[in-house]
Amino acid sequence: MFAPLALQGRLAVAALVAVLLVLPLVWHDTYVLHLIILSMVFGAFAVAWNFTTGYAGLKTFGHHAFFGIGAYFSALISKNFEITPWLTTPAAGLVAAAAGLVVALPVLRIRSVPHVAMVTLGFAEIVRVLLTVFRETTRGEMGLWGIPAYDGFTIPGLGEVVFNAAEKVPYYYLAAFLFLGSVYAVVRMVKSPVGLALVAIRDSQDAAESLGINLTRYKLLAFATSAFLVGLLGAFYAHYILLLTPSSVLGLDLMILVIGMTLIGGVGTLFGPILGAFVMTIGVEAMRGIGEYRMLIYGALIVAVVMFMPRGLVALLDGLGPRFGFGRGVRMATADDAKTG
Amino acid sequence: MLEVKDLDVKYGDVQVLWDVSLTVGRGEVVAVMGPNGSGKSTILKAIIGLVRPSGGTITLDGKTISGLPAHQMAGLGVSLVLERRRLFPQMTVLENVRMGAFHPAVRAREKERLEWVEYLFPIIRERRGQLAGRMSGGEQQMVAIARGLMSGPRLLMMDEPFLGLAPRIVDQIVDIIRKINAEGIAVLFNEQNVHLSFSNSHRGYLLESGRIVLEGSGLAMLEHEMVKRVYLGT
Amino acid sequence: MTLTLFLEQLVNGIILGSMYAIMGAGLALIYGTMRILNFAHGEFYMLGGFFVFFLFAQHHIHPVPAVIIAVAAVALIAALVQRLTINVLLKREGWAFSTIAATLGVSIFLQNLALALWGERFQSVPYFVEGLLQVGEFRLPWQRVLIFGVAVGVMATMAVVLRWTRFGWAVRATAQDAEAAAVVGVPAARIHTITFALGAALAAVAAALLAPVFAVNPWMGLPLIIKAFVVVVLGGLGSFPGAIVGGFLLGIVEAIGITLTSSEWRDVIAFGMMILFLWVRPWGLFGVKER
Repeated sequence: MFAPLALQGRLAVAALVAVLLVLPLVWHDTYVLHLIILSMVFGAFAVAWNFTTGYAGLKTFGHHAFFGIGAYFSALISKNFEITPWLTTPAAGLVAAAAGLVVALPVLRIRSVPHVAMVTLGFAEIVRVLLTVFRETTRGEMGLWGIPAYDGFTIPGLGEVVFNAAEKVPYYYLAAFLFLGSVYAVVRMVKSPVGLALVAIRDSQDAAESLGINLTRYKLLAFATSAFLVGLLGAFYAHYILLLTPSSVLGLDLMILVIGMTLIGGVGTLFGPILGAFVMTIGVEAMRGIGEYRMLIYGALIVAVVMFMPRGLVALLDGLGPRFGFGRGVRMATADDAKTG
Repeated sequence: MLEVKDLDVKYGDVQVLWDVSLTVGRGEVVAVMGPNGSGKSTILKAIIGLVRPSGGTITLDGKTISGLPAHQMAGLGVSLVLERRRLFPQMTVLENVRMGAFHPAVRAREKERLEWVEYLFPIIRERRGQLAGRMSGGEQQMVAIARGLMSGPRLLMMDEPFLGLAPRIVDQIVDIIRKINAEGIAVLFNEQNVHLSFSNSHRGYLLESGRIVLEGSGLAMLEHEMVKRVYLGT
Repeated sequence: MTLTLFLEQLVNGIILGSMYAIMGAGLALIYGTMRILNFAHGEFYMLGGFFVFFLFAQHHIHPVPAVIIAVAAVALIAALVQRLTINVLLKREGWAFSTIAATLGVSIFLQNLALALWGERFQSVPYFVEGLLQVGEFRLPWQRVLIFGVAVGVMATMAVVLRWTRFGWAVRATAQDAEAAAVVGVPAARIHTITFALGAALAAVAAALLAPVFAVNPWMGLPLIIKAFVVVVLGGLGSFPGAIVGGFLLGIVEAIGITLTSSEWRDVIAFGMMILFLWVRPWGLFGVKER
C-alpha cells in the first residue's frame, strides 16, 4: 500500500473517479443520487476515522463528536448570524480540529485501547448531552431546523447552480469534492514522512520512539487532521439534510455505523472504508424491505466480519487480480495492544 | 521419561525451533544452555503446552502430550516455573503457593505438600500474608519454585531460574535443585551461563539459533572444545 | 432546599450508586480477567430488564423466581456469546480491538432483536414491594430499600467468592497472569467464559432491580453502560473493589451535583468526572499504575 500503486491500480482508481463524476449526468434519479451522496459522506468519514485508528493506532470511538460539532457549529453560526455556509463550513472544520486537539491531548497519555475508547466516547457523550441541555439555542431533541442551504451561484456557460432539496446534482458534486478531497488528503498524509512515521508507530511504539520520532506531534497532527475532515463533513451534512438532532449526528449509533463500515470494508486499508461505506449505505437501503430486521442483520454482519473476515471485503479484491494495489500488508495488532491497562 | 523428538515451533511465519530432540530421564537434572534468543524458553513452553509445536512429538512415559493444553499438565506430573517468576502479584504468598495445587488431580494432597514446601522454603511460612508482588526477586523465585512443587511433579521445569538474582540467592537455588532432585524429581532447566548450566546438571544440551548443536554429560559439556572456545573465551 | 430534601437526594444517589457499582463491577470483572471492554454489557442489562418484564409483569411469576430465572438466562446467553466470539478472538492478534468491535456488533444485534421481539415502547414493570419507609419527614419507597439491600448482598457475595473460594482464586490468578495460571492447572478459557457470564449476570441483577423504576425498552442499556465506563475509570479498570467504590462515588457526586444545578446536568457531571480522572489519575482509585 505504501509502494506506488501498480498501473492497474492507478487505472482502476481513475476509472472509479470518472464513473463517480459522470454518474449524475446520466442517471437523474434523485433517490439514487441521495444514496451516493450519503455514501460519500460516510465513506469520507470512515476514511478519516480509519486514518487515526488503522494508521495512527489511536483507536478512538468518539469521532462522531467532531461530526456533530461541525454540523452544529456551521448550522448555528450560519443560521443565527446570517453568515454564508460557504464560510461556516470550513470554519466548522477548524473548530472540530481544535476540539480534536483537546481530546487528543489526554488520549495520547494513555496506551490502553479500552481507556482510549472510553475517553473518546465519553467526550462525544458530553458534547451530545450539552447540545441537548442548551435547548434554547439548539432546540435539543426537538430538532434544529431552518438551517440555510448553500448559496447558489452562476457558472458562466453552464448556468445557475442552486442548492435545494429537490436539486441533488450540486450537492452531489460538492459531496464528491469533499469525498475525493478527504481521500486525497489522507493518501498524501499516509505517503508523507508523517505517514511513514505513523506506520512505525502502529507497528511498534517502542521502535518508533527509539528512532527518535516525535510521536506526540505526529499523533496530534493525525488526530486533528482527521477531526478537521470529519467536521467539514458534518457541516456539509447539516446544510444538506437541513435538520439536526443531537442523537442523529452525535448518537453512538452514528459512530457504530462508521466503525461497522470500516470493519466490513477492511480496517487499516485505504480502500476498505470507502467500499464498506458504499456497500453498507446502499445495502442497508436495499434491505429496507425487511424493515426492522436490517439493523439486526447489520449487527450480526459486524460480528461475522470480525470473526471470519478480519481483513474485510477488500481481502476479496486482493484475490481478484494481480496487484490491484489496495489494501495489503495490514496488521491491526500493535505492540501496545498487548495487555496494558 | 520425557522425550522430545524433532520439535519445530513457529511464531507466525518465523520458525524459532528446528528439529529439537532431547530427553530427560527419571530423576535426572538436565540443562539447556543457549544464548539469548536461541529459543530455550520456547522448548519449555512447547512441552508444557503454552505454545503449539508445528512439528515433532513430545511424549511423557511413552504417551504423546504435544498439543495438550497447558492446564492439564499439572495433572500429569509436569510443572513449569516460568521465566521471571511470574507470581500472581496481587495475591498473598500463601495464596500463590496454594494455587500450585489447583489442578483437581493433585488437590487432595495439598496439605502435606504445603508442609513439604514450607520445610524447603521457610520464608513461605514467615511471609504467608504478604502480597507476592512486594517481595524481592530472590524471595519471589523461592515462592515460584514452591508453587511449581505444590502439584507434586515428577518433572519440574524451570525457565532461567537464576536470572537477575544475587550470587548468594543463586547458590540457594542450586541447593534447592539438589534437594528436589534428591527426592527423585527430575529437573529440566534453562540457563545462559555455562558454569551454572553444566556444573549443576547430569546432562546438558547446547542450543544455538533454535537447533541443538551439542549434547553430553554436564562434565563433558564443560570440557568441550566448542563450549570453551565460544562461551568461555579460552 | 431543605435538609430533608437534600438527604433524600443523597440517599437516592447512594442507591443509584449501588446500581452503578454493580454494573461497573461486572464490567471490571470481565475486563480484569480478559482485558476486554464489553460494549454489549448494556444489552445484557437490557435483556435482564425484558426478562423480568416478561416473567413478572406479563406472566405474574413471583418476583423472586422471576429475577432468578432472568439473571440465569442472561448469564447463559452471555456464556454463549463469549464462547462463540470472544474466546475465539482472544487467541488472535489484535484482540484488544477486535473484541471491542465484536461486542459492538453483539450490542447492535441484541438491541434490534429486542426491538423485533418486544417493540420500541417503554414497558413498565410494577414495584416488587409497595409502600414507603418513613422516618420523620424522610420518606423512601421500599422498592429502593430493596434495590440497595440486594445490591449490597450481591456485591458482598461476589467479594467473598473472589476472596475465599477456589473459583475466586482461579479468576484472580487468571486476571493477574493468564499463562502462570494455566501452568498451575487453571483452565483459562473456561474461567473466561464463566467470568463473562457472571459479569453479565451482575448487569442483569441491576436491570431486574431497576426495571420498576426506569421502565424497560430496547435502548435502556446505553445510558447505563456509559455510566459503567465512568465507574471503571474512577475505580481503575479491572478492579472489582474499585468499581464498587467508583459506583457509589459517582452516585453521590451526581446526586450532590444535580441538587446544585439541575437533573439535566447529571450526565455532564459524570463524564466531566471521568475526564478529570483520566487526566490526573488514569489508572483510577484502585488500579495499578502500568507502563
